[in-house]
Amino acid sequence: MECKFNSYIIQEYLEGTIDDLEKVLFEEHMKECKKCRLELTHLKLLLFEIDHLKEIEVIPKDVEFIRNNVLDEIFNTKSSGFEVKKFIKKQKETIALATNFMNYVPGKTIAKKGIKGANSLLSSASKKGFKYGLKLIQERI
Amino acid sequence: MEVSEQKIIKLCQKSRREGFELLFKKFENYIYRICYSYTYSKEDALDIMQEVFLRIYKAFDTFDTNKSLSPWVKRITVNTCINYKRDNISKHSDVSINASIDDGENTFEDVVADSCKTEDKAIYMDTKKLLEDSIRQLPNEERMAVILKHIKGLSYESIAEIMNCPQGTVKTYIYRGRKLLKEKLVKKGVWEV
Repeated sequence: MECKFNSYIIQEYLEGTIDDLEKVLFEEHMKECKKCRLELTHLKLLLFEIDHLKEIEVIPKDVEFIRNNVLDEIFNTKSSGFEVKKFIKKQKETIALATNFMNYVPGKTIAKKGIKGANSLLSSASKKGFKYGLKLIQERI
Repeated sequence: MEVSEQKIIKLCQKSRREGFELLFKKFENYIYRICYSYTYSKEDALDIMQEVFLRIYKAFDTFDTNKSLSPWVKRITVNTCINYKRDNISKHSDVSINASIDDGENTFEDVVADSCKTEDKAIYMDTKKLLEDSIRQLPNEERMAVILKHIKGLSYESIAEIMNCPQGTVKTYIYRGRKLLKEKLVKKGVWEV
């Protein structure tokens, strides 16, 4: 006999939502059809297994972390200037570190004198240059 | 002390951090449980959860303040899960024949080839695990409908409301989902009937 009952009808039978007439026909059919009997057994076993899958009970602490992270993300991006402040703070930290580093570089004292000397040399040279330039302009006038 | 839903809504309308903090706290366990049942992975569940929180914040203007928060939050959670890209689901959870199964160098292929280890593997991959894996591999809508029906124990009517589709469609999703699950478990030889 050809099997006209599919998995959907068998599930309706299991849930008790099948049409009365169809139920009688299906029960009669099952007496003969090994395939449908096996399908019904498998579906019963599946429902048993699936209904015994428990929901997770322990909620990880990370949930709190995620919540705070999202709130920070939402409410920090709203306050303008936060990123600039952060950037300036980072820059200050970098400069402070670089200064500290320079204090331990060998030959620091000599370098310091050299820089000072270069400064005074540059200033006297620029003064002389300025005077010479001014003199030239005055002569042309 | 529990803060009333109306107070939470008012704070959220004013876009106050405390409002959203209370809202997230109120629903986070529920959200996590749905996300976990959907992915069976802590990392993926947390990932989706983060997305759900952001969507709640962004969509709050569209929330009808005369209604209850719960169905609205559930709908956002379910939609976020369904839309969560399949590619994002942890790669480690898919069983590949070349994948390592014991954090060592043994692949599934090695274990299958070695008859002594097959029994251990069968114990490890018990029915529950196989069922969870099979649920995770269902198409998105079928997966969510099956979870809401069997794990959350909701009625067809409630599922239809949350998934925003007709009851008939929900029934089809569930029947199709069960059929696929049954076929998968039979194929894996879970029931020797």
